[in-house]
Amino acid sequence: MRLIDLTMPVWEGAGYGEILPFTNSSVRFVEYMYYDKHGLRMSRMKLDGETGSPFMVPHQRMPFDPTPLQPDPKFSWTLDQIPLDRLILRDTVILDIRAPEQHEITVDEMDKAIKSADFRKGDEVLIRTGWGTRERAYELGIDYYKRTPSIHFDAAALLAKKMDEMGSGLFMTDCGLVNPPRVQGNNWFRGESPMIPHPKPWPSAEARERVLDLGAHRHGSPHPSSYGAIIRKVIASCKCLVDCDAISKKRVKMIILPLLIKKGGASPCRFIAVED
Amino acid sequence: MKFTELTMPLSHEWMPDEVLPTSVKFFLGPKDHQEKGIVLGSDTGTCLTLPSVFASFRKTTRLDALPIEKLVLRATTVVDISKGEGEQINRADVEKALDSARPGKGDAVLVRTGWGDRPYHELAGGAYVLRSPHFCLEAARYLGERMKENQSELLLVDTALLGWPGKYLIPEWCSFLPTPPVESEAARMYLHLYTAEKATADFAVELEFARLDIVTVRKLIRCGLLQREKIKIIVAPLKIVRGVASTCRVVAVEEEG
Repeated sequence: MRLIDLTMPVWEGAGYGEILPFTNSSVRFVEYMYYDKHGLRMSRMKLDGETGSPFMVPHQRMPFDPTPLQPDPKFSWTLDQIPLDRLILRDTVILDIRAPEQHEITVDEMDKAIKSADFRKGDEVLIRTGWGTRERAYELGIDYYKRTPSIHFDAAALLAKKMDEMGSGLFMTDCGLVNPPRVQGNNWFRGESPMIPHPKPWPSAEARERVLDLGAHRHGSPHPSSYGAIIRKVIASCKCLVDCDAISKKRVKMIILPLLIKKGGASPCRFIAVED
Repeated sequence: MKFTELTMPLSHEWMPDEVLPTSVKFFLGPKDHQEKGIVLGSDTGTCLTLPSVFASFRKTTRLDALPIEKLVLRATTVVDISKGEGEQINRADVEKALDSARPGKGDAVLVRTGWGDRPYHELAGGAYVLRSPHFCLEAARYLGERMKENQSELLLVDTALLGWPGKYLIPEWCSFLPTPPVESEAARMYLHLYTAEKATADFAVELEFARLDIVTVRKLIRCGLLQREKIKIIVAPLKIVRGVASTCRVVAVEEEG
């Protein structure tokens, strides 16, 4: 048995917490017991539901707001309601779509990947571009998310339909963002009028002002959300996995463990591939 | 295969382990809140602690470098040492339990006292922590040495505490009446005056496990649901760069039939 850790690490100032106005916020650590003073170290950590490699259910705003991100989701479990046998040692198909930076995976590429994979009923899905690596995330900072490959809406809609047919429950990818950066970061770091210099995320003045401009916490792009297409059909959507090229086979078993947050909607998560 | 959740849920409404000034209040902030997201401490809920939490061992492994083979599908022996409120686990308890359970070479050890099966949400006034069973120093040393001999370095317990910080931390903190909340100004002031000498005395048991290079996971719950003595365990802490401790998810895997 071979174990492969596909989890994006958590560190203060990580790019995923700095790039978007609302959906993810900064990782901050504050030490309150110190090696030099107390002989031990304790930290207060401020994370986000989307820190690291996140696990996000359709009712992502729970426990405060039961409204799902998209209407009529197929699954409505919160983090603490998901049966363990839907998270542990899950048969998973790898859909290989090699994608260079900034590439938006097309519907044709998705179709080809689905058709050439050994996709079986009940499989979970891991879209592997090979782009997402821990080393690259450390090096690029917020540029990791500006340059990440992503999934075009049409491709996401096709995948969502296929996952629905196959009874898949978990979507995973090594893309930094599921939505194309032009959509997710519309007029924040991409689009016709990106903000320069790049502002801090929520609760910055710029992020609050964006809510005034858009009327809500949304990306404000006129283009449809790839993420939205997928999240309607799955238990959870998971992005920012890393080092997936270490998986040597086309099918693996996955162990997927988010934090056990009571009535929670999103959490940093550990992703471990198990190869026989 | 049967999976059993052994993790204390992280509740934004109330956590039973927010008692001592060394704790952080678990907090979830909704999207409009200034602190949108998740706030937690090094030992919030079910938590893993590395020896490197202590200055004396700070050059040892950190969370992001911990081999996952140590934590995932790890062969584990369940060792029963039944204990009630405030009781101490002594050396004879450990010796008897280990001789009975006979952990396999390299097995992680899960000490089940039954404390984690108590309805902790019904324990008033910080009793989940303040009345927790705990190891005495001699028992910790003996257990650690037996584990080391057995090439084992992962210890899981269903108690709130490993040792009893009873020289300074508990008596001093509990002498404040009413007891201030964690993360209060009083808590910060207390920690400001809390010295390394006091911590060394209070955390002698934890230091002993660290000296023996043992990774500890505490505050497991529902271990009474485990039917077998030999199980596999999955421990999933946050993968914090250069981190020394983290809340974690713990799941037991048992063969059925």
